[in-house]
Amino acid sequence: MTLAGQNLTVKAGGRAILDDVSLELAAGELAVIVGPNGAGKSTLLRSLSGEAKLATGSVSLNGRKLNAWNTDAQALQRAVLPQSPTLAFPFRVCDVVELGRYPHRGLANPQDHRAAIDGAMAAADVTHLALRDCRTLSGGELHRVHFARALAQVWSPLADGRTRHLLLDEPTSSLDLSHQGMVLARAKTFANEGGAVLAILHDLNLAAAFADRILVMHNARIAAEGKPADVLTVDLLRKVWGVEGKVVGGERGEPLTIIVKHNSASPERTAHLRAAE
Amino acid sequence: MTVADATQTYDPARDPLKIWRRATLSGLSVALVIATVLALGAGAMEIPATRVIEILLQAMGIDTGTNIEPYETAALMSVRLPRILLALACGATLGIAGASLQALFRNPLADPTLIGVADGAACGAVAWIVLGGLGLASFGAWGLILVAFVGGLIATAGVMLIARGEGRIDVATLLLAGLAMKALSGAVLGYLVFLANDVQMRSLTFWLLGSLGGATWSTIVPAVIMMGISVLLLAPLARPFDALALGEAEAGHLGVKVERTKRIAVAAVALGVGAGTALTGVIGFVGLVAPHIIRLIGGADHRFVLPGSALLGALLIVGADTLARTMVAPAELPIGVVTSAVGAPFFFWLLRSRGSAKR
Repeated sequence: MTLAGQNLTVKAGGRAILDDVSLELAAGELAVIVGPNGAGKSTLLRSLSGEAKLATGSVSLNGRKLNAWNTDAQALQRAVLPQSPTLAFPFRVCDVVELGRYPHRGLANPQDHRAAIDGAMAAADVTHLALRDCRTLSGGELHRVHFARALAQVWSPLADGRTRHLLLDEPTSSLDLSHQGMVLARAKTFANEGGAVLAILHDLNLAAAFADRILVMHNARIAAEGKPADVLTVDLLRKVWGVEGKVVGGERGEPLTIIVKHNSASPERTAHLRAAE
Repeated sequence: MTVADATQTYDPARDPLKIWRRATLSGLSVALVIATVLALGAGAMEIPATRVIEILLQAMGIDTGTNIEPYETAALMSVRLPRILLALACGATLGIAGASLQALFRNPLADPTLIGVADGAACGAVAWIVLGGLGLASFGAWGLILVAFVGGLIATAGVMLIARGEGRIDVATLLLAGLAMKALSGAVLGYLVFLANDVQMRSLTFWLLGSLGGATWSTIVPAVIMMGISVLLLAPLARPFDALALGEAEAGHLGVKVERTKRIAVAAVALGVGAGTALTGVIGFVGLVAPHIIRLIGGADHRFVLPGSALLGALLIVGADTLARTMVAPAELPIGVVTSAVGAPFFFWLLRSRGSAKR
C-alpha cells in the first residue's frame, strides 16, 4: 500500500467528523470517494494529506509514517488539489503552475521543469491562458489551473521507486462536461502509469466511468466500498442520499449509468438518514 | 504595460513580463543612484551633482584634480552621507518588510505600522530615551536597537497570537488587533512622554513624527548592519512567499515549511523595522505603498516584488527626506509628516479600488 490511513478519527466541536476510518490506496489505482455533504469526505482527504489534526490513527506514505518524512519529501510524493483553491495576489497562470515545481527545486534540470509545466498546462487545457492574470479567469478555468499545478508537482507518477499520489477534492465540481472527462481521464492515465489517485466526486456517473474502486462515505464512516458496479446500487442511493433511482448498463461495454429521480429528494428523507446513525 | 496578451502562447525564454521586470529593477537602480547624488547635493548649502561625485571620489582616494573646499567635504561626508545611507537602509528595509508582511498575511493592506511592529519598536526606543538606557546605556546605539527590536517583536507576536484562530491568521482580526496594539502602544508612549523632562521632550517630539536628522556614523553603523541582516533573511523567502499566496495548507503541500517561514519573516521584520525605528521614529506608509506600486508595475512574483519594493522604498525615503530637508529650509519637516501626507491619500485610493475590484 502506498498511502494508508489507519483508524483515522477527526473531531470538531466535540463530535467525530471522521470516525475510525481506515483506507488503503495502491499504486496504479484511481479510487473515488462519494457521499452526501458533511459525510466526512474532505476530512478524510485532509487526514491523508497530513492537514487535519487526528484525534486517533495514523497515516503512512510509501511505507513510512507521514511525520517521518519532511515536508519537502512529502511534497515530492503527493500533490493536493483543494476544493476551493484561492490566490492572494495577481499571479499569472504560468506562474501558478510553475509553483507546482517548488518541491523539485535543485532536483530537476530546466528541461524537466519545462516539460512538466508545459505538459500539465496542456493536460488541463490551460495553455492558451498561460499569460493571463488568474484573477480574470472564470471559476472553472481557475480550477483547471490549480489541477495543472498539482499535476506538474507529481509529473512522473513513479520516481526513485516511489509511487506519487494525487489527492483531488472535487476536481470536477466547477468544470464543464468536456473538461470533467478530460481531467479525470488524465488522472486515470496518471494511475495507469504507476501513480495513485484519490478523488472526491459528487457525480456518480463520473465516478462509475473512471473509478477502479468507489468508497461511499456516510455519517463520518465508510458505508460501502468496492468496484463501481458492485457498490452503486438502487439500495445505496436510497440508504445514503435518500433518493430513488435506477442503475442501468455496466455489462457488455455499456457504461454503468445511474439515473436519479431528482424529485424524490426531500429534507425530511435526508434528515431521517442523518438521525439513523 | 499590460500584464498579458491572452492570445500569445507561452515561451518562458521570451516572457515579456520577465523582461519588463528586469527593466523595471534596472531602472529603479539607476533612479536610486541619481536620487542619492541629487539628495547629497540638496540642502541649505547647494552642491552641484558633478561636485558631489568629485567629493565622493576624493573621499575614496581617487584624485580628480579639482580643488574642493574642506567645509564642503565635511558637510557631505559627516552630515549628509550618513543621513542618506540611513535613508537608503530604512527605505529598503521598510519596502521589503512591507512586501514580506503582505505575503505572510496574504493581504495587500498589511504594513509594519498597521500590525504594531513600528509602534512596539517606538515604545521600546522611547522607553530607552526617557528611562535612561534601561540599564543597557553602556551598549550605546546597539542597546537602543536591541530594545526597539524587542518592543517590535513583542507587539507583532502579540498581534499574531490574537489574530490566530484554528491554526490560521484571520486578516480582519489581525487588522483590528493591530489597531488595538497601536492604541496600547500609544498609551505607553503617552505615559513615557508624560514622564519625560523638557530636554528629552524636545528630542522625542521630533523623533515621534519620524526624522532622519539624528544620523551620525556612530549611530547608523549598528542600525544599518541590523537592517542588512533583516534584508538578507527576507530575500531568500521569495519563493515560499509565492507559495503562501495559495494558502498556508497549500504551501505546506508544496513542501514549504510554513511555520518556520513565518517565524523567520516576523523576526526579520521586527529586527529591521526595530533598528530603523530606533533611529528615525515611525515612518508610515512606505512599507504599504512600495510593494503595492511594484505589484501594479510587474505582477506578484516575489522574486520581483521583494527587490523591487526594497529599491522603491529606498527611493521614496530618500526623496521624502530631501523634501523634508529642503521645503522649509533652513528648518526641516519631520519625514513622517511627508510620507503620511503622500501615503494616506494613496491608502484611501487603494481601499476604494479594492472595494470595486473583483475580489
